[in-house]
Amino acid sequence: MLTDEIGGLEAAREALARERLEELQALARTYRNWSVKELALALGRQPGRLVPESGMPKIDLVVGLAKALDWPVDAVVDHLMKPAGDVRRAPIAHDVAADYARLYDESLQKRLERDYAEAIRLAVRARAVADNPTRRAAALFVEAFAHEAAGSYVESVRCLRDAVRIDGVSLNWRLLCDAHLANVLFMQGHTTQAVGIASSVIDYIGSVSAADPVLQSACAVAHWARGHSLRTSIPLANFDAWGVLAQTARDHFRRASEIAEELSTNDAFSMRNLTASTSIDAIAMELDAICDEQAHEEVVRRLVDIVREGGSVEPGVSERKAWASIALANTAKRFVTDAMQLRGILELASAALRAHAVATNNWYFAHRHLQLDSERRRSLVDHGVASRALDATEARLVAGVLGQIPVARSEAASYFELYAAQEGSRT
Amino acid sequence: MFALLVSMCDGSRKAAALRASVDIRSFDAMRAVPSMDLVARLGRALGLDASAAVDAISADAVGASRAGLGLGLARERVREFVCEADLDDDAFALECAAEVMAKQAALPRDLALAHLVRARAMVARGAHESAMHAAEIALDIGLASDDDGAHDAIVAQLAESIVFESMLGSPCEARQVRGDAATGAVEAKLARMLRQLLGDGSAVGCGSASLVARRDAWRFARRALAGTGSPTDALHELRQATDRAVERLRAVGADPRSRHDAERALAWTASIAAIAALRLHGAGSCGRHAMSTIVSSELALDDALDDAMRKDPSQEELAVITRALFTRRARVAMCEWSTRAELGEVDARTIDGIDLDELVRSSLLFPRARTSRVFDQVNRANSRGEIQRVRKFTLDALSSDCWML
Repeated sequence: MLTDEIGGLEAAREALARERLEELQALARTYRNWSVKELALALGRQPGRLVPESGMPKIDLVVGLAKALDWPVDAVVDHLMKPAGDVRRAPIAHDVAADYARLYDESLQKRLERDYAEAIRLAVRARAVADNPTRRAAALFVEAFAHEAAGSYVESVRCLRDAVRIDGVSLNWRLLCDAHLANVLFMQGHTTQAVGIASSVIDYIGSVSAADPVLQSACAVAHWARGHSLRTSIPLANFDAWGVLAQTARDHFRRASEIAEELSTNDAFSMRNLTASTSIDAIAMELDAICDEQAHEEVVRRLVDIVREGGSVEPGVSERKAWASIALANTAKRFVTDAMQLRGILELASAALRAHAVATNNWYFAHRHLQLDSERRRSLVDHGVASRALDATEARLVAGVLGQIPVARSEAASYFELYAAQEGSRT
Repeated sequence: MFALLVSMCDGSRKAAALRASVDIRSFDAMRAVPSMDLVARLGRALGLDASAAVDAISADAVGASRAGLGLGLARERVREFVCEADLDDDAFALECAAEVMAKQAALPRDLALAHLVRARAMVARGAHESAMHAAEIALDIGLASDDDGAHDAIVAQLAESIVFESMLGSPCEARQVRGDAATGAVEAKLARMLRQLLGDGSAVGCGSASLVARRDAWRFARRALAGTGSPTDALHELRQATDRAVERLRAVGADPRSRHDAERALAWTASIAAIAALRLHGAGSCGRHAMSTIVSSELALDDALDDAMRKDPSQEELAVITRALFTRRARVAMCEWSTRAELGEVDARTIDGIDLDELVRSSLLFPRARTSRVFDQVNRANSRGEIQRVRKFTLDALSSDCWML
């Protein structure tokens, strides 16, 4: 009986997959104005074999389809693989519109307690009972926040994009969602998109006279995202011409810090929503060193102190250390000339980033750790020393980074190459 | 990826295969070209979405092509790629290139150029306001160079496209929708910079036939839209330019490079004529001339596309070689729909499958078309739901810049 049931499910899944593949091929033909023969030629298949029996195409067909549609490969896979119907939006029968505020608050609380799965469930329930567009967008916003905290940037971006597409959302919530979208896009490495969105949010808010905590929060996040996007553009070598841009980035961080300070006096928008603001002074030090080269020794010393300082239960301390590690690694690469000192500093920064990434699923920090770690591994191999074996935690970091940071996928081959040698030591 | 999974399973291949629910023998057999299902299973075992797993696996297969411009390319090659994408009106390739250029930036002006490339991509998508925002960022960072002719040439080419295409406006609206004062100020700044770059001659470059042809067409269109002469004469002039481009394409030899250039020249000339006609259709009594200009542009592009498709090029060429023709053809089709909507000639009940295909194509290329008058009318009467379905697709695929759409 069970076998029959599984067989039936498998057949339904294959039928759905075939239907989806046919749908996308039809769309590609329409988009390109191609005949079946032309599509088959472009996809490297016989016209009669464009859709496999299982509905599950080989990778080369997926890539060909993405090229034909001018879509990213992941958009094609997403469409082919997503489940039938949107089960996530099914409302819970006993929830009513009056429960919205409770569900919303509980979701925020669960996120603070690091029960992300429950935070997401509560946010989805809040969205299901939201009785106006702004409430729907706000529920998506807290869902996005929970996804981000759980380490799923892809889902976070999906929620924020869904939120900004809702018609009739009030301006302040729309801009808050936009600002957070800019921030998550920055973390995923899409810096030009992030700068564009953050700049537009800052411009819009500049033209609005009302001082509303939601708008202020949006403004702080937009300045934070723009500051970071500009900061990461500055190269690690030959950066003399970048002083003006470093100054601009620093001004954005300062503005974000000022707004966070103002918001910290507001009970409804306490620092729990802006833990990142505790890191601004540390990350701005990287820019201080670019703006004033005389300051670099002092900057390195202070950043090392922050990275080495003891732990605390206060929210934001670990995040502050991670941002300080990034600032430290960049500053050291720019200014420290002693190879041994540089190596020591980079090891320190890499270890702090790894610790924070493992503890919090922050893939932006994990990506930076892997970049530093892979440089170290390569230098060890160059010096004839075998690199440390990849452990399960490191493997999880590699997988998480490849999954959540799309720009890291261009380095996928090098990560696989660095770590693949560990395969098959035991069977 | 399997090796990564093995590491997560303490080095045991058996445990890894069990965790991913794959048979090691079938995995080994599929190593060269795995199925999507297999990669999705491996990805799931690693905690990855199927899309991320396939994307990571296929990063090399996509390589330095337009869908995934590699980070390792030399700056000169990226600039060349951008020039091509600009002439092909290829928004997706321009968006990819903008991110790559931002990461490769060695000087602030390189970062500014990355934002200008993004602005160009937004223009190709018909998102005027977003384009002006990106251009403003580029201008704020500073695009000027004292010593780099190649940099100035690409800045000039992109700025020219942005300025003139913004002047012509979106094909989805019959009336030119102007932005606010800030947008106007950015346009003026860009135009001033362009005049400077072209004025000193350093940025003119060698100029392919298609670059020269599109520059000429823009100048004709600007004169026509300035309203200094008769709109009918202006339309006549633009149709003649299209006819000349058709003749040049017929006369060109078998050399693929020359042929491609002539195709691009026709694509740009015909589409600029059509969009100028869309803007002029309400001026005086030239409605009939405007519509016939648009239709003749469409026919010229249809013929050229048919010819190009008969050439039986290799797979990669098939995807790329006709790009300018087909993107600009979709733009012209949208011009026709917008003009018909303005004249009250859109009867949703008589729209057939070919019409719907055309609208679907336009919707995929110009996400904003979904909010246009034509789509609104068709949407209400379209019982087959294609447009609704496309709405979902465009949001799936083009959401990289859904902001302000």
